[in-house]
Amino acid sequence: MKKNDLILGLVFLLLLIAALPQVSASKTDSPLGGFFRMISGEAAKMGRKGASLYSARLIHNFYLSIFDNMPTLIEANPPIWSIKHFIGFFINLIQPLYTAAIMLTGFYIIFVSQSPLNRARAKKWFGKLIIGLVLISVSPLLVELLYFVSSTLASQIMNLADVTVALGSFRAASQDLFSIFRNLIIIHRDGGIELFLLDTVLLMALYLIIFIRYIMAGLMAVLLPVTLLFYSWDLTRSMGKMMFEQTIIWIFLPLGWAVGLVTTSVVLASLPPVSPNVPMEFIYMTSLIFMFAVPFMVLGVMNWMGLSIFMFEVVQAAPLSSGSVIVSETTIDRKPFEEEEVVVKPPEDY
Amino acid sequence: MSRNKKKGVCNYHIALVLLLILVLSTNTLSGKVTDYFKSHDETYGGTSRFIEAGIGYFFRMILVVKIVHGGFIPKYAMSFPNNYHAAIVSNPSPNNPGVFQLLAHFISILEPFFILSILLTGFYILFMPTSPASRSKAKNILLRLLVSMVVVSLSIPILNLLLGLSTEMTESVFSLVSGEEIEKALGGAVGDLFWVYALTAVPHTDLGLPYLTLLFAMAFIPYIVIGLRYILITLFMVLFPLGVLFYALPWFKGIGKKMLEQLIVWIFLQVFIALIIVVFIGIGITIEDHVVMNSEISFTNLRGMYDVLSLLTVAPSAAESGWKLLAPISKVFGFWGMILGGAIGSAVGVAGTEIMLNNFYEAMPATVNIVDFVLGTTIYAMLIIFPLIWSHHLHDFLP
Repeated sequence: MKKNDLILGLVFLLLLIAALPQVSASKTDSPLGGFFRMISGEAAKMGRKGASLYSARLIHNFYLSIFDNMPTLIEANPPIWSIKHFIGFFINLIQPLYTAAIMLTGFYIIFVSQSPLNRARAKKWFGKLIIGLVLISVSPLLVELLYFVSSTLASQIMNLADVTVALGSFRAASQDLFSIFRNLIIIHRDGGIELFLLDTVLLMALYLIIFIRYIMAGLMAVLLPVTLLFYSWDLTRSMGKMMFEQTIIWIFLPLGWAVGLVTTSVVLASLPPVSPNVPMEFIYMTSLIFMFAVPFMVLGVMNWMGLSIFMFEVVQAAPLSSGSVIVSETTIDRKPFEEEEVVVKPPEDY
Repeated sequence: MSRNKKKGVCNYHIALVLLLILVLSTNTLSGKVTDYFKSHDETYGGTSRFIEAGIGYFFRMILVVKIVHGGFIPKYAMSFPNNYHAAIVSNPSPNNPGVFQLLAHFISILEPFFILSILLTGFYILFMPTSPASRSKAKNILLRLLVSMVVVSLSIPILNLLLGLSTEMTESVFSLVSGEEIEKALGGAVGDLFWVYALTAVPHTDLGLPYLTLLFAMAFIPYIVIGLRYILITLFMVLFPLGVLFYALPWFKGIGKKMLEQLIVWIFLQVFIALIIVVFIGIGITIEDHVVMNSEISFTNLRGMYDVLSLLTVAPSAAESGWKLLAPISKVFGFWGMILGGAIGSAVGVAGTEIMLNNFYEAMPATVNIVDFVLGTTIYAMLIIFPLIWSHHLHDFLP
């Protein structure tokens, strides 16, 4: 560490000594000196621009692989062997609860319940619990079925048109952005940085959202026994419903991408004859952004999109702010304390 | 600790003094130095541009190597991977003196309200018999008030039960995969992101900006989410008696329900954070089987770039310094002396850079591939997004 610091100091010192005359000896009468100065100055700048361009190209090509991977990643679902272990954990956690609930219901029917209405209700619970127990036991198969349907449907949809057209257009959009960035940065060292950031951030976001889908599909599948338990119990039904919706949404999200890819392909094939003067670059870029938005559009979870809406979610999520929501809800939704009219009839022999 | 601190202060002092000399020298020494080096500079002084670029490059390299890699990464960014278990599993305890006092204070505030509402309900039942339906409602309220009094007096055992249940579930979820694997995955995520940052930030600070931002987010946001959970649980624990009272009264049931629900949601969030990490380790990595082209960045590129930049920027400036330092020799030996001075200077410059970056190069991986890179970012993104989705979507589950 100390050696490094010493060397750092030494290099600093060398730089310092070298920097001294550049300020003072700025004038030169020799034309060769001036020319040399200019050439070396430009070379130094170009070296720096070249280094920026070099690392930017590495990053760009790194992310550009998304378009090669997209068709298989869209259809991809976690393999069932990787999920079984975790589902088993939750089934083991829940099955004793079910056994206890079924036994208690049985005891209730046999020994406790007196009225036929309560017995009928208990029998209904019994039926639900049995169905829930069966579904939980077969939940790995259920997950496999859902995955199979999702990936088969996605691949079927993608077979409807040549998706390579769409993928090619996305690649072209990205390459266009990058080539504009390249030209700009050669002119000025800060030029086009924003375009490069837009390009890489879009590609990264595509990768990220596909990966998140994959893991969420796995996570919701792992939670399927819990979802079924919540759904089959009246008290937690709303939570079970929400979780079930999420399971379906995350597992069937690829259909959105598949439809998006097919639509983009069709549009790109049909647009040039209709409007030949439209620069295709804009269409490419639009379709790239469309690709990012399409799952949300198709599955009607639009309200997750956009930073502002996300921030709204964050604010909503914080219970401190939901205090105001509570107050407004209670003040608006609270019904007046209604008194039921009870007609007291006089006795017959009044 | 103090030795490190002292050393750090010393480094800053050296840097500051050097900068000061640099600034002052341009004003005071210029005349003398100009006279001395004028003859050389007229012909060969074009390296000044390289010196400019070299200083810029050098500062960016110090930013990446010393400040981010040497300081920020071990201190902050690697903190969550190293302490994830303690951070996620820890819960506030209602037996903590501060929390206990607050809880007791709230209960003592609520006591008169309980007494008052029970008295009022009793009076209502006894003396204001409007209709049988409202009488039965009043009786119902009385029963709820009595039950809530029992619940409030048992609030500490109830809170302990909830917290204990959550902690135990979290522990059992974590036991599904080994701790080393989790640490490796989280640490690898930070590492991959840093190396891509190192690749982009040295040529241009702005190119690396998104990665630096992500590194900051990775370092702090998991802690912010977990810290928020900790604070909110403490808050709702203290408000628990109030929530129970509100839940018992039909007019304030909405508020009480929300308060109790939020307490439960934030307590059990712990289990789901653990579950995300565990499922990610177990399932996420299988995505590699579906990837057709796992593109890679080879870090020989990064090393090559650092070396070439050193040659392009540090070496000419060092060469010029060497040449000027050895000016008397060059006067004696002529052209060859100048070449010798330049060669010695550039050798010192490049060798210095190489030696200084030795530790940095040793830590550098050979490659980073896209699957590992995006997976790493994904786990952190999910750690951030999922709790928000979870706490937002889970409501209305209490009767």
